[in-house]
Amino acid sequence: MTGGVQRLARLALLLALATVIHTAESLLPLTFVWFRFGFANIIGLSTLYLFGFQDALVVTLGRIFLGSLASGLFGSPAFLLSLSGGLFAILAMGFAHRFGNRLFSEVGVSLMGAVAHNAAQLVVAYIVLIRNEGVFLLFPLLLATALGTGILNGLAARFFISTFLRTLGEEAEERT
Amino acid sequence: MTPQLRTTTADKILIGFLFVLTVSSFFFVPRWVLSGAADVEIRSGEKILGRYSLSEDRILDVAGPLGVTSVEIKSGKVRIKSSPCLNKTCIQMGHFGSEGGCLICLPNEVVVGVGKEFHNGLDAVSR
Repeated sequence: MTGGVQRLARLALLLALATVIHTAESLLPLTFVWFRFGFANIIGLSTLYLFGFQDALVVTLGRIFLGSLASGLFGSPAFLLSLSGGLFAILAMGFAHRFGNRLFSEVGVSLMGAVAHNAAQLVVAYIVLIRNEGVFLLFPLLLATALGTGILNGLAARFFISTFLRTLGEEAEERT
Repeated sequence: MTPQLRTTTADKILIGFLFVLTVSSFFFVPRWVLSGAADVEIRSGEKILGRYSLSEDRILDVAGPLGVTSVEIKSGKVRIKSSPCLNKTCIQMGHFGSEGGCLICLPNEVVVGVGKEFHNGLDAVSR
């Protein structure tokens, strides 16, 4: 019983954290940084490692919905892009985590998530927004961005996971 | 399942693979996207005579009120080779390729334009 409540409280905290990061990042002006770092994915990835795929999916979808409500972009093309990107990123990371946990560390899983995120966004942007093959010219740039942010977020998630586990000690260890 | 919490060999291979993919995509993707993207559209008066790929070399004879205007597509460029008009302004307009442009012969009512719709400004705003 207490375990369930504890788990719920921790997941709620993770969701709140992810929402705040997501919202804060959407406030960055695109004039200076033309891409997003996807820092909110640090929390999604950590949730995947700490609580499993289902909870990570809930946290990711939850932060996209709540974050877009907070920034007033709910239902806009930007929301559609973050939804498709986030969904495919968490699916790819869940897959990589499930079947390649022995092989890949958080950095590898994060990289796959980042690449899946950007690829899905580009395809959705092509289908929904811009019906012009020209958008695929962005692919190399997005791939380069995914490489950078994927490694960065992977390392951040590693730090987050180890801190989380160290802080909670054995309690958390039992539930992973 | 305990987290790895350290970079594995597979990680490094993945990073290397993605790095190679990124660098090579800078060369290959523009080529794929832009290849065959541009067509030229030839009009005579009000009629659209057809669209022709820039990648295929050919000479097209377009009939107009004054006579036959000869349009040449050669090595990705289009130009007006000969024209029955007096001023030959259309021939002096030179040539254009996939970057876009147009060639017009007013007396003979021949217009060579870009088949694909090009437009300036923003395609879409995602906000």
